[in-house]
Amino acid sequence: MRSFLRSTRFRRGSWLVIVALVVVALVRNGVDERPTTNEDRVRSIASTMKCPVCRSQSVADSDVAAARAIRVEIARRVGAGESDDQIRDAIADTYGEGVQLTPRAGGLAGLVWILPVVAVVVALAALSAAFARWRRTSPTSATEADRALVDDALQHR
Amino acid sequence: MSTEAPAAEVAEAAERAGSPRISLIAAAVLAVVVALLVAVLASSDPQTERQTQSPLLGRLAPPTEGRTLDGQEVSIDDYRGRWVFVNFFASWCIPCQTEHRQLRAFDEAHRRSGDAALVGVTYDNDTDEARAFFEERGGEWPVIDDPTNSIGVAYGVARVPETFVIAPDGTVVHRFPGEVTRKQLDEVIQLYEERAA
Repeated sequence: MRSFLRSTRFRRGSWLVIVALVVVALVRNGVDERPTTNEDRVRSIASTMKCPVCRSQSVADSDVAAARAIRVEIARRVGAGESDDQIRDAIADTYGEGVQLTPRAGGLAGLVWILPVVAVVVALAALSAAFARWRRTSPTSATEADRALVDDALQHR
Repeated sequence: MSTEAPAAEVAEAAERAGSPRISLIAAAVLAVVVALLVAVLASSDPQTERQTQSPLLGRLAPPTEGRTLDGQEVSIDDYRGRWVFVNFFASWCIPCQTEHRQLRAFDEAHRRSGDAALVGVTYDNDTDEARAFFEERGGEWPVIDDPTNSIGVAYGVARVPETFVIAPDGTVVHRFPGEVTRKQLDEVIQLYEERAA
């Protein structure tokens, strides 16, 4: 059992399982769960817009006048057949980009998306390099000096 | 125990910890990431500027028309060629009650001179309550009843009172978040007329 756990096959299998889990998590997160009714759409869009006078509340969650007014406007535009992006753009057009809870992918704000990915990639690369170095420099078996050190320690216990 | 053995262990540990080159690269990457994040944050407007700014500034005013509290149809296009002040208010809003006297003074002065017009728009306000507000406090300017707040959303109104200044050519030139005084409204006309001269 111990030899199996140390085997290359087991290690490769473990990495494959980890990669598969990450892929499944990413794909599942990316699956578009489309709202089925207009009310669901209004709620879904409102949950991506920031209430302009609240702290950390979406338009969907807040009951202040501005949030209610924006919800009514979203519902009107949903009824008029506009797409989700068109509606978000229209609201941001009057309230400013700050009303979007999800930053846009383009422009300087796009760095918000890119930087964490860069940080993770750099961290993984650094860890891989460090592990490789440690593996190269780690002794595979105890040297005579190691044995002498242990014997010495045992004698003086 | 000899002192050579620990020294060798320290040297080996240092070897395992990696070369200074990797540490330098990691530090450089971290510095770049932090610098970019600071750049993103520094490029956004400060809170004080956001309060007076509006995406509408410099653009044509959104459609501002509807039925007034006394049943007349009105549009700000009717006032093209004059300065128009679009004031969003609600009868329950204390600053709106406070600024009402200032608005009356401004409206009376400019109604005579004919260079500027004031147009009110209700925001999150019951029609009867808004009407009672004017009956009690006076005021001759037209007030558009906007029960769905659609005009307020078109202007990006976050909280009342808010007043938008529209130049004679129909462009939104200024936004006053909060209570205004007659003096502020007069000054803004003077400011933009001097700039245009």
